[in-house]
Amino acid sequence: MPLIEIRNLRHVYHAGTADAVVALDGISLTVDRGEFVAIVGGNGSGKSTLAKHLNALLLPTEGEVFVDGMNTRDRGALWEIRQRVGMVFQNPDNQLVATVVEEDVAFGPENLGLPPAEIVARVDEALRVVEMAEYRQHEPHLLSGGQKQRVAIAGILAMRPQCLVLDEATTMLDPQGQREVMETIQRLNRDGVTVIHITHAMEEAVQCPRVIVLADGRVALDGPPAEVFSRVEELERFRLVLPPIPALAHRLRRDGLPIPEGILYVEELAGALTRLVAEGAGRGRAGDGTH
Amino acid sequence: MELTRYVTIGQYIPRESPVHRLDPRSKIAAVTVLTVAVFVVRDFSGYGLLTLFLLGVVLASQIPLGYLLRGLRPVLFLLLMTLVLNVFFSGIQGGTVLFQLGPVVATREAVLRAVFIGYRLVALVLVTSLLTFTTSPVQLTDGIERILRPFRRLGVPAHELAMMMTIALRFIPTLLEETEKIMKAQMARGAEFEHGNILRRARALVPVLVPLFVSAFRRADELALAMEARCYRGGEHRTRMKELRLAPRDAVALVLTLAASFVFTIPYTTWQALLR
Amino acid sequence: MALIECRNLTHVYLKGTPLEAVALQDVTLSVEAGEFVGIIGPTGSGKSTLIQHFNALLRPTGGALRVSGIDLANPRADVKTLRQQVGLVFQYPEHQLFEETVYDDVAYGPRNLRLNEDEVGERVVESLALVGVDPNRFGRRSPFSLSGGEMRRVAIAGVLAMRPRVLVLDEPAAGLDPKGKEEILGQIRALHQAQGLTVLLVTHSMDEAAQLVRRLVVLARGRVVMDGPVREIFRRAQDLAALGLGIPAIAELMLRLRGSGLQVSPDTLTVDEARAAIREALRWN
Repeated sequence: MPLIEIRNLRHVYHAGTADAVVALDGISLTVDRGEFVAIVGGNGSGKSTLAKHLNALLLPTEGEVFVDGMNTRDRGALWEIRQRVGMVFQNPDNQLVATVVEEDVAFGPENLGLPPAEIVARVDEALRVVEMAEYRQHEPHLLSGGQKQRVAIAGILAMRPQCLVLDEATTMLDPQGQREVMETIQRLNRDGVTVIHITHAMEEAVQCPRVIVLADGRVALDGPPAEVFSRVEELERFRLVLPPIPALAHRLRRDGLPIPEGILYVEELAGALTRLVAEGAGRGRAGDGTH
Repeated sequence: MELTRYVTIGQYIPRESPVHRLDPRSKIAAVTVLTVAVFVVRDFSGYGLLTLFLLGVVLASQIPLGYLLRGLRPVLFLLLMTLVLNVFFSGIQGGTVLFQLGPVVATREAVLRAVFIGYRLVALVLVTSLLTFTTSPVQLTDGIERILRPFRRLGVPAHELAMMMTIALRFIPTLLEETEKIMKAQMARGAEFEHGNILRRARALVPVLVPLFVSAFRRADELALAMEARCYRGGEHRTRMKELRLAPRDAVALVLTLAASFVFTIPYTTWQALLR
Repeated sequence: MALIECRNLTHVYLKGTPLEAVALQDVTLSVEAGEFVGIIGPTGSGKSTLIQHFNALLRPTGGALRVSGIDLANPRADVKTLRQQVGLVFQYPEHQLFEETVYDDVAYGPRNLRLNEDEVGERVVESLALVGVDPNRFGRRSPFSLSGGEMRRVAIAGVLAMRPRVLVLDEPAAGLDPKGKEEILGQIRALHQAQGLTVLLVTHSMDEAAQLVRRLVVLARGRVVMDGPVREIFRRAQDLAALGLGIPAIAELMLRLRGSGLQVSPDTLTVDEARAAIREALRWN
């Protein structure tokens, strides 16, 4: 059984009124345990609406969402679903509740009604995992953006979820903060946590093993990044811009240079080009010969 | 903007003192007892002893006296007003006239009363600042929640009140920072906040207040969603990481405070009778 | 004389208290009219403190600063004129919108300048057009009904309506999606090229800097550590890395290719330039 299964999900805001807006229009997809998925899309593509369906913050207008076999429409399963799928939001300032880091991390487990000793143990562990243990007594508003998001992640981890959904959690961070969060979630994924990373930073999507592109409330592309990022023309249509290296590789291929498809990183492109020089040396010299 | 980074929440000064270690509930109780005592005391001997007691607590708390006295600055104006009003407009008829300026008369009785009232104000500020200096906001809200918990049956929303206080404390620095930023952004568009009469100044604040409210509502929305996502459903089912526990030192502190307060309120004349 | 001239500019927050913090230390920098300068540096390097000095929202605690001929070390400097000449666009400027209509919001600045309504209207229409927002379509709408990208452009128009000579922008593309980023940065480039505005752009992104600016000032711990043409700065990859700053991916690629013996020009920053340089080096025409 997949961890998350979405069947023909449609979501309409203000349904039945004159202001009705179709945000999601027939989405079907599954996410298995242990996956690391990037969901990308321009503004208005429906990314955030989709995210909020994953732990029943929103319910489908039509269709079904299952988390670990539980239907999100089932009120009785609500708290269990929210414990299993944790969510980190965009603005680091607007999701920390308490005035001290450790109190904030304890907020989730406290809501689950765990005994104090258990909460202390979980807070310790969660802060250690996100490498914020030394800040446990700090006031959240004095931390950097990246640190705040790591505290928010710790607050979710302390609930021992199976899946972490990041709803544009890196959008408001500086490059340093983005790196911190990416490294943290990559580490968590290696330890078995399923990660769904919603972002419009293509450089981050490139690092995820599976990329889903949303456009106009539908799944437009779904596959490994090398495949998704070779569909350049389609991406442009979806308000997405290729990162420079895949863009350059694509142009060079279109020029007829024999380099492989699906190049994402500097090292790959540099390698491909140097190999080309070594192999195609004959051609270069032949050109010289005409002088 | 960096300036507001240095705003600390409340006025809490972390120290490892015996006063800091007390349970917040006992500190709240002690403050209540002392507040009553401050109003009951009627003569110099009582005030003298109260002052000695407070100095003792300050010493034990390891909070520099200077910090505490600085806390008086905001009430200085109020203090002066109280003194002046009570000296010259006491309404006390008769008594020993100390000096007279036209129709304004200052009597010995009025001056004494003004000094007592002024002293009460100072003592109250000192007592409450001692509480906030030695108790972290988290402890303070926990203490209030626990004290109110028995009244839940009467419909007192103890948990909700405490949660509101926590969130307010958490967002004060954020909103201060935001206010400063919006003011600067409007100043860059030619806004002036320091010129003109009161009406013009109030109008000049609209471009600051509207964005501030818009942002506060957005934050509230997002925070509510984040709390829901973390399984928050009110005080029901909820446990706490740190449950408050009363220790023997709390009993000692409370007994001491009660005994001392009792002693302050004994009038000087009774002392004389007792000592004779 | 340079438009902006800092000499040993120093700013200390809460001077003389235990919380004293040096935000800027001996910053010497001059910007000529018509330049397009990027200011880059890690968080806490003093970027935001520095730009707030340029329109007197902050005053130097040490050193000299002249902007547009106005001496800002003088406490009685003509701040009003200065704020009109130097337009400052803060991060997430859409958070400052407050009026009922887009038109009135953009008109806020000109009205503060006590212009007559005709001229106010002229400026509103002009500055909305500059950021690609149709005044006829959007003028009467509430700014709060717009999309994120549109709101940001309206907010920038609100600053342009002051008709500044210098435009200072703090991370104007932060938080936008890739297409929105491209659009806003394209418009800023156009403002520089077509209107001749002097532009100072604070950014975290080396790729943004590479695409837009000609000169780059690198700040670290409150000091200017590098200042020069963008292409020269990106050759100092190791120094930048030591500051926790990367170099743009294309510049990194070029350095690697040169390292493995391919004769590509090191002054290559954009995808188009790189494509041309690689084709030339490989003689692939």
